Amino acid sequence: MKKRTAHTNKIRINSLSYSSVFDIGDVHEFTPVTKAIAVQKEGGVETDEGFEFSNFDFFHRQLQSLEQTKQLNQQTIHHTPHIHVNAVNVTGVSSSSIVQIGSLNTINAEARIKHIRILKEEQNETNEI
Amino acid sequence: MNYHVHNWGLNVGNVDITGITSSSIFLIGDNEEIKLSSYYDTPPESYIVGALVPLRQPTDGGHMSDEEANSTHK
Repeated sequence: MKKRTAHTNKIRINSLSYSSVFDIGDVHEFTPVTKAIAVQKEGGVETDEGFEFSNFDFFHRQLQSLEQTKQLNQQTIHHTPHIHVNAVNVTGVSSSSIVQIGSLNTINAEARIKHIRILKEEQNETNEI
Repeated sequence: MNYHVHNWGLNVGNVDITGITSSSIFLIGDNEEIKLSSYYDTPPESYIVGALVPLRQPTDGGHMSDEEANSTHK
């Protein structure tokens, strides 16, 4: 499929993290994977002891992904082969994401995030929430 | 299924995005195939009240094998 050219005057990205990409130009294939454990503990987390990926089978479990797309007979005609974007302002790009100016053939991104909340013993009014 | 796409001009003014996170994409251009998957896991056992961290402490001997680690965690 013939690709169009993208024109951008100004782009500003504040932060880029956790296997994310900012790309100007063409990409053939992009397959980022992110594994994250988000721990919130009352009083702050001192150490990452005990929070290894091997402890949780969530990170090795084979999760069902989208099945292969069937072949589609698509024909695209670009009468004006240009894409114009004046200005782009992005605050944050995180965990297996991509900001791209240009064409991209295949992207297969995966992000696994496990949330853990640890509270102190005493709760003010009710004990169970 | 026959699928014909005719593209004329594509002009966008300004774009302002706060966050692009967990397997997301912001693309200015063409593409063929996009497969984005993101998995969240907050089961009851990850809401812990009181006990510091109920996971096993590493035994002084060798490293526990994987199934053993999984079984104690469930």
